[in-house]
Amino acid sequence: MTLLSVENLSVTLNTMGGPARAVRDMTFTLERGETLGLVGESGCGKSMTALALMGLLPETARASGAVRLEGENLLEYSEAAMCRVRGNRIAMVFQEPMTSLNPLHTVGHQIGEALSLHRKLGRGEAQKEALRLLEVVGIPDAGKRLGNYPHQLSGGQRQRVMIAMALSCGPDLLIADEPTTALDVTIQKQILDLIRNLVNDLGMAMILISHDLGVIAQSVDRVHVMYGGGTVESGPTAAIFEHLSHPYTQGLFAAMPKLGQRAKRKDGAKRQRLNTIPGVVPELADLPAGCTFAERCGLVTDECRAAPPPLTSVAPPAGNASSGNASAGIAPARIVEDHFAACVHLDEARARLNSA
Amino acid sequence: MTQPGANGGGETLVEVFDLHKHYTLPKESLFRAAPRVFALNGVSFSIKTGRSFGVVGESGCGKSTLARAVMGLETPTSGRVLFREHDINAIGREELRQLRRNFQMVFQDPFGSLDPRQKVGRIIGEPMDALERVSSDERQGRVVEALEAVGLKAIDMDKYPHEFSGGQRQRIAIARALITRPALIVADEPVSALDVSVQAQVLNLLQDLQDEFNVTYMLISHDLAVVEYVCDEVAVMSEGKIVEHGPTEQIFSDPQHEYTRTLLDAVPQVAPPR
Repeated sequence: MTLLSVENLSVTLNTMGGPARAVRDMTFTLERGETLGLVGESGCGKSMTALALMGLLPETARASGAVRLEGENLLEYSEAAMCRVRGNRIAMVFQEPMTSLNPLHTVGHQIGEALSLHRKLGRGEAQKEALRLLEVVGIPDAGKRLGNYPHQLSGGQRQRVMIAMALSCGPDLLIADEPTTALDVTIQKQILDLIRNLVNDLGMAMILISHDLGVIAQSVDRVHVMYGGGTVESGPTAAIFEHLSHPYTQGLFAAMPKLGQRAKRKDGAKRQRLNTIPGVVPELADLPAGCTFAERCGLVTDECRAAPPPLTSVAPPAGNASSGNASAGIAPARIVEDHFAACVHLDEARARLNSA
Repeated sequence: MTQPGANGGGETLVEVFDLHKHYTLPKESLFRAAPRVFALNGVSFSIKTGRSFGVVGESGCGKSTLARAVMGLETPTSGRVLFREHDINAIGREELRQLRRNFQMVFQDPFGSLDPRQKVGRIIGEPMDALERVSSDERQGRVVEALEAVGLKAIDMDKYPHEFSGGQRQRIAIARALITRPALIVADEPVSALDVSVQAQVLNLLQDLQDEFNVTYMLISHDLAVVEYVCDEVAVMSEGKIVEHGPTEQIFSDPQHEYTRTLLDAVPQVAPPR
């Protein structure tokens, strides 16, 4: 049975400006051992999606659709039932290792908490298991660290403790919300390597949330690019980065300064402007009726403003797929079936990218 | 001292000689000397007018202390900071105050660095008010000029900071730095709190302002791609020392120091199409 199946998940927040649709019709599935990345800028709904899966939405929020964990719809669970799932079958690693640990309790106590709650372990057993977990996440001198308070650890070590806490009950699904954003690049690399190896070894599923395309590209099998609360492009990671299809994904990629670009500049060209996306992210309380990206898109037409474009396969119609397809300029063999984008002007968008 | 990247650029604007900064921590034991932190351990470099100088390194390497020392906000334990050949720690207070109009700072957090109870016009005009007496007409004119230079409108001066997005707030912070028409802007992580598409707008703005006003930048960042994009020269810091220093192309294409290589290797990259 499919481990996690999210069907038309929508989250509506009651704000001062009226109801805001923070998440709109998210649909995806995840099997054990699979990793999924949600990427997008602030306010695109990626964290709200994670909170909806965890049952941690703010009180003013309403979720609709379905979040099925092995067939059971978590949105229908009572709080008591959700408490048995949370931290046990679905665990989460938060962004801020500084603030998401309790400063008044030792690291060992905090890791043991979930174990005594869900696994009914006694204190001694919980501490023994906590020690093992600290070793799993690669904290040196784990026995000594068990009695330490969070402020005695570095940022990277605190994030390792967070991961140890998340792993404590052997969850089926790990949600990591910007787990490395507060960390230095060298530490970020260690933590991402650690998470990737643990997911491989333990056969969990993982949802990784990040604003950083580089982090996403290196860490997950599949990606959903989110904008204005919904998915604008989804597919296998390699396919997405080889064929940036949605105008927003293209814009996001072009706006990112990339290492090693300076050496490629033409002689004498001191400056090279970054491509920006004009305009600002739309207010969630006041989303346009059609495509949420329409007001910032160079390819916009009346059709875009009329209705939200559906997610359609990026693969060109059968027939020209085998004939080399010189007009689109893409090697057809590389186009994957399950690469989707929500845009009615996909062909123009791709042509624009290829001519650039 | 040899000057890397000596071609181009004008006269030397900032020179830093063998800067040390040690902080004394609270005493832990009655009988032992208080522990000390060596934030800067002999840093030397110079920046030429109209160029961009980048400082990269991980948290705790001393890069923010260096920025504060260059701004005259920290008194170094030893060493000298020369701005246009004035030692900013040796001149008198009034002289330093007048000199400050030439160097301004942009901070990291656009949400924390603007007073929420002041209108934007007052926030931007404040550095000018501290330095000179100007008529209210001239004041208004210069605030509008600064606002327009960063791509905001004159009517924005009567709004409060909370009415702006993160990228717009960082523009306000840049306008505040521009108001005294400085020669040097020290920017400590100016874009790290911004989204990618907004970050690109602010980075382009920094470059446009340099073209227009010939400002010199000292850019502090942990983001190597941002530094590579903006800066002509880069210094890589580790444990309070500059471990590698040179033209940006050279540092990024042919890093010599082990630490620089470690840093560059750790940056997650989108795999290029194979």
